[in-house]
Amino acid sequence: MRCWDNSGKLKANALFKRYQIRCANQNHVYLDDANKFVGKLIYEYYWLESDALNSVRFYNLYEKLNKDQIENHLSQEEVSNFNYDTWFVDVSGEEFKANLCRREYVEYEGLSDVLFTAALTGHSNQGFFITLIMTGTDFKATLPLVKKFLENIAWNP
Amino acid sequence: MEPLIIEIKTRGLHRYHAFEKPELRLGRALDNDIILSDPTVEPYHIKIRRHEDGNIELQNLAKVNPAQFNNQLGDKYSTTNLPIDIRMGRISVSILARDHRVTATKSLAGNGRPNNLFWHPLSAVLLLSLCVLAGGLEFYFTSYNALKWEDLIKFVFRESVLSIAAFILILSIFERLLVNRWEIKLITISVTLLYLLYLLLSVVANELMYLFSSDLTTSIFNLVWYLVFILAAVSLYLIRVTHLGQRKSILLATLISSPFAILAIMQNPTINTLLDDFSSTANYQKSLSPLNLHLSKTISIETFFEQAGDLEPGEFSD
Repeated sequence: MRCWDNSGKLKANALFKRYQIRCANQNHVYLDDANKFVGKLIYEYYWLESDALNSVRFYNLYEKLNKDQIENHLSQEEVSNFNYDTWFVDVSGEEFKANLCRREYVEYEGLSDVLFTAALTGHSNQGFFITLIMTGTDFKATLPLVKKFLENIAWNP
Repeated sequence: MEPLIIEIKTRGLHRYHAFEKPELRLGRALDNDIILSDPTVEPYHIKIRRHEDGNIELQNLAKVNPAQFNNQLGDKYSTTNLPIDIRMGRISVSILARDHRVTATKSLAGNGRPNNLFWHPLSAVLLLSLCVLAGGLEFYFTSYNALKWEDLIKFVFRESVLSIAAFILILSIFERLLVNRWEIKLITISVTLLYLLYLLLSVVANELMYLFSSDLTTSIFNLVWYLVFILAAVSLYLIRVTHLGQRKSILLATLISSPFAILAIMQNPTINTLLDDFSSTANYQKSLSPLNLHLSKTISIETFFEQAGDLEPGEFSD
């Protein structure tokens, strides 16, 4: 896995700070020329904070940034629609709004793409996203990894 | 003989002439008793004769666009029954008895009371100012950089002023075409009220989306807004302000609001899902709220792990 600072440069007059670390594996699995590559594993931590924005402005920004997607655009001949569910999960004494999405491959039974996102809630000017993306994998097998991710989050104010 | 009344229907106020002489001629030529300047009317189009016994005799003089008497074509028509409807080219004329009943008086919007919101021109100015202020607030709450006046003015002009002006212009043109009147003050008040209500309800719908952890609330809001609310508001405007008939108003309101309704239906993710539309993006629940009010219970990681295992596979599109 390789990790890098994905924060990008903010405008000089930006009223917020963000810190974004993204990690991804480099060895993708070639499936076929239609489905391109699978075996992608990406995770990201995204911290957002602001002393200058009030909570309404902060949450408008926080919501706008909550938009992670799996970036391989496959057609309906290749994959199903996404199914998702939402939970509010207690992680290290903090509440996270978590979404778990999955879609299936038409020609490869048992293979799924999984997108997991969790956003910290209940703080007026601090936000934290975790994103986990896995492609071409067994859905049930991804859940222990998601669980491990959540269990290892510690809140150090 | 009791004088009769000739009613000439127009888009705005109808014209009325007393019919006191025993004979009357209508047409476009200037030596007629009643002159109709429409190009589809012949210089001498019809002649009307009244007899002592109450019989009314109508004679068609036109070769082009011959007159129709009570929807019947013919050179002569005679009757004692009133009213008589006459069609001359594009012009509709009626012969009425003097005691013909007129429809009930329609009250002005807000009953014409000077202290009513719909009556005073200051209401329009005040509501427009509120819309500009709401546009400014929208910019403030959705900008994350240090505020620049130039950006604020551009946003308010584009999002509030131009949108409201476009709606006022479209509705004014409709009103001019329908009833030959400009009711700019009332249109401005109605459009600005709707604009403010939309902004307010959008905020409520977003909070409800977070409360229920479901996009369904905004989908329902968008559908109800365009399919029911806009339709009802335009119908009410046409009935209460323009004073068109109920059926005609609802039909026109449906025509006016249907492009917006169709767009809302086409862009609605819930309907797209129902129509088995394929999407390569995960439309998960992205809403976040500073109020953090939600109906879902906060669960432990263990419970989440158990429930996540039950997540059904995605559905394949046809």
